Amino acid sequence: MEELISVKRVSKIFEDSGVNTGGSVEAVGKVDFQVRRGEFVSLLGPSGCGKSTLLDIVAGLEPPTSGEVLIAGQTVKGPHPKTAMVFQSMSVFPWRTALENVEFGIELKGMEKKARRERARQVTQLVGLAGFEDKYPSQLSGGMNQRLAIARALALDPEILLMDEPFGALDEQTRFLMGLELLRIWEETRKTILFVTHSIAEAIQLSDRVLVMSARPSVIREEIPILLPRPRTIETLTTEIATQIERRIWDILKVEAAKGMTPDGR
Amino acid sequence: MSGNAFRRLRGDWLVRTLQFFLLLLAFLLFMGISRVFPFFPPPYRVLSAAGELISGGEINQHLLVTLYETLTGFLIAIILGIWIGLLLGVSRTLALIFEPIILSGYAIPKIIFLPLLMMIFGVGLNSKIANAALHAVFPVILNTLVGIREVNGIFLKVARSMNATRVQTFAKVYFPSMVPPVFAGMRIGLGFCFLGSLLAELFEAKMGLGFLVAHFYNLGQIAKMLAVILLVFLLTMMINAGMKAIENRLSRWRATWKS
Amino acid sequence: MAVSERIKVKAGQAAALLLFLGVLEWLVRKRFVSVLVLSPPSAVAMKMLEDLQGRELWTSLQVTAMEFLLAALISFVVGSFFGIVFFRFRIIRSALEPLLLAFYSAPTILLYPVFLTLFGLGSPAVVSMAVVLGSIPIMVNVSVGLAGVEPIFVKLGRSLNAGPWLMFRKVMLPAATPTIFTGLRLGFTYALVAVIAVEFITFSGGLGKLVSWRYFLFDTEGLFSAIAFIILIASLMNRLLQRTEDRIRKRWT
Repeated sequence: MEELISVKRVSKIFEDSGVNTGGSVEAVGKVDFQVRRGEFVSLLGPSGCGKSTLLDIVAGLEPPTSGEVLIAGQTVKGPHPKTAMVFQSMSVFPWRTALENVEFGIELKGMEKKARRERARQVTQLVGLAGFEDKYPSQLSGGMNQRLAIARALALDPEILLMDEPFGALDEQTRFLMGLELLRIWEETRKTILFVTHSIAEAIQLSDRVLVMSARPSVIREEIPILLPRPRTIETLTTEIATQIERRIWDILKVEAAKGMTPDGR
Repeated sequence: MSGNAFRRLRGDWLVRTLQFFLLLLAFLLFMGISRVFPFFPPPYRVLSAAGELISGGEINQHLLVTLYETLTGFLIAIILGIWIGLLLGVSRTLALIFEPIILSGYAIPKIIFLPLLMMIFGVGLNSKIANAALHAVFPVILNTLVGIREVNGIFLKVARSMNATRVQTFAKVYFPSMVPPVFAGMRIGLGFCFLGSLLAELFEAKMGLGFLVAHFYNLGQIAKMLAVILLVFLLTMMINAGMKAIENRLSRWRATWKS
Repeated sequence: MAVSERIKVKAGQAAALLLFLGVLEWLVRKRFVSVLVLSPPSAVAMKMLEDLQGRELWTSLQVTAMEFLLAALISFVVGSFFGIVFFRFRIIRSALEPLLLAFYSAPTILLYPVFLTLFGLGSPAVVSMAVVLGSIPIMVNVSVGLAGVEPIFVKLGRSLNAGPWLMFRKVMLPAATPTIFTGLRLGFTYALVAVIAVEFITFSGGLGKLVSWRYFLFDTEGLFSAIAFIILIASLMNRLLQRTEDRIRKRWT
């Protein structure tokens, strides 16, 4: 299996990030990792540790201060056509209907109207929102709107999905169900997914591998393969092995999360 | 029917009854005032005067003049206002310098500039139009400015992540996002335009609704004067309701959206 | 905003103003605009100094100031009273709500001829109009401010068995102060604008009348001077109120 995403010695320092910090912020330390085609990899770490920044760098939305990101061998200099991003908070446009939102990406690429509509319908159905095409986001629930965001990304038929805590704003039950939905979509479409989260449960539920990150400046503390069978159900997720994995991750994160509770984070 | 709905229905009915009584009270107050103050006509005379003015067509010319001044001023105000608002919204430097100045525009009685406008534009309609535009331009500028500023950063990130061009970002993200606040600014601006025209006419004019008010006052025909004022308020309410209806249609998607 | 940035902004504003005045000066000097229409800023400045030493300006200022202070005081009393009434008796507020909203969108100042008829020409009419315009923001903000007190604070007060007067003084009022103060700022601003506007249109006295008086006398320099003074005074008051409000908000949140 080839390496689809290659992150090499990437670091990120924000200069002069504002009056409060008065100086530069080292968001990401030296980070190295690879993602193979078809994998589901999670970046897991405490809040504010810089994992979103790292994802932005992979997405081409932020330039790294040092190092580089390669996607299918090409250096990333801006948003790469093989990638599509799903964001943390409500990112669907309230003035567009569900279908029009899904169309947004392919509309930008210039796909002509009929083909666009057709494609958008297909993807909307794929994420389980068939029948809601003409509703506005204000008429849909949070989970449904996030599914729209995923559909919008999928409409571009990217090889890689970059997801930044997409279920963060949802309650725990919805989160779990959305996770199952995502896994179903992943299995159907066989995309490569790089997923950022601060929830251990979520990371274990979804991923093939979890990259556990430290507090700021973020580096990868440990890489943990999730050797649980798929499909991941409540049963498989509550076995002894799963609990062990969870305990191990928590042991690493405990130290890192505690750093976030002191004023200077060190 | 559920407890809340029942309470609300009963509450509504109570409010309506109260409103009715308050209206009655106002009416009686009005009548009382006309007994005490010699020049003040009782309500029914005002209403009949209003009826006369409308049916007799006496008011038509003046209404048209004022509407012409208002709408022309409005056109100027939105062209100028949106343009300046965009400029300030785009350039942080310009905004830092000029926004406080625009904001303090609300604290200054802009009517005092009328003599200046009259010296520049003459005593005719143009000075009234200019005055209307001057009054209206401020809310338009500010609402446009706020409209650009408050475009959700996430939306821009979405566009950027999909390699949208600048034109695409403006047309597909900025523009739709800005329609509700800009339109609200226009609605408020229209009201200010109307006010500006009327005040200018009250100061010095030969025609228009404001002129009519001054005219009737000078002739001592207070009932007719009050009738015109009443009609002006009714007109304002109708225009406002109309604009609000359009605004709601344009903002249909807002509903319970929290961005 | 950092101090250095604030200085830069002030410098930018000063520069813009000087540029503006400079252009005006140049336009008149070069005869592009007639002196009858536009007085050169240099002449206006001189006239302003003259006015400061004369009597006319100060008498006018006195009239306006008295009318404004009276209007502000009455607005405060009336506004607070009705604000509290609206807060206590929600139903009255609901009943009057459409009327209050109408005041914001309608040319309310057009009611001034009513007061002219009632009280004749002069200060009473001016003050009445200013009170109508100034009390409404206060009314609205007092009632909204009190109603908007975080329920958790109210709960806290109740759990400590605070009586209604104590509750009001120690819980509701402090919590509602920022909103109420915004209402005061708006109300006083509208009151001043109303005072000068009515003075101007009805020719009744004060700074407003000074402007129309000089216009009709073709005293162009004097006209500009009067306008400049009004701008200065109104801006000053606005700034003062805004600064106080900002300080209150900073301490309260």
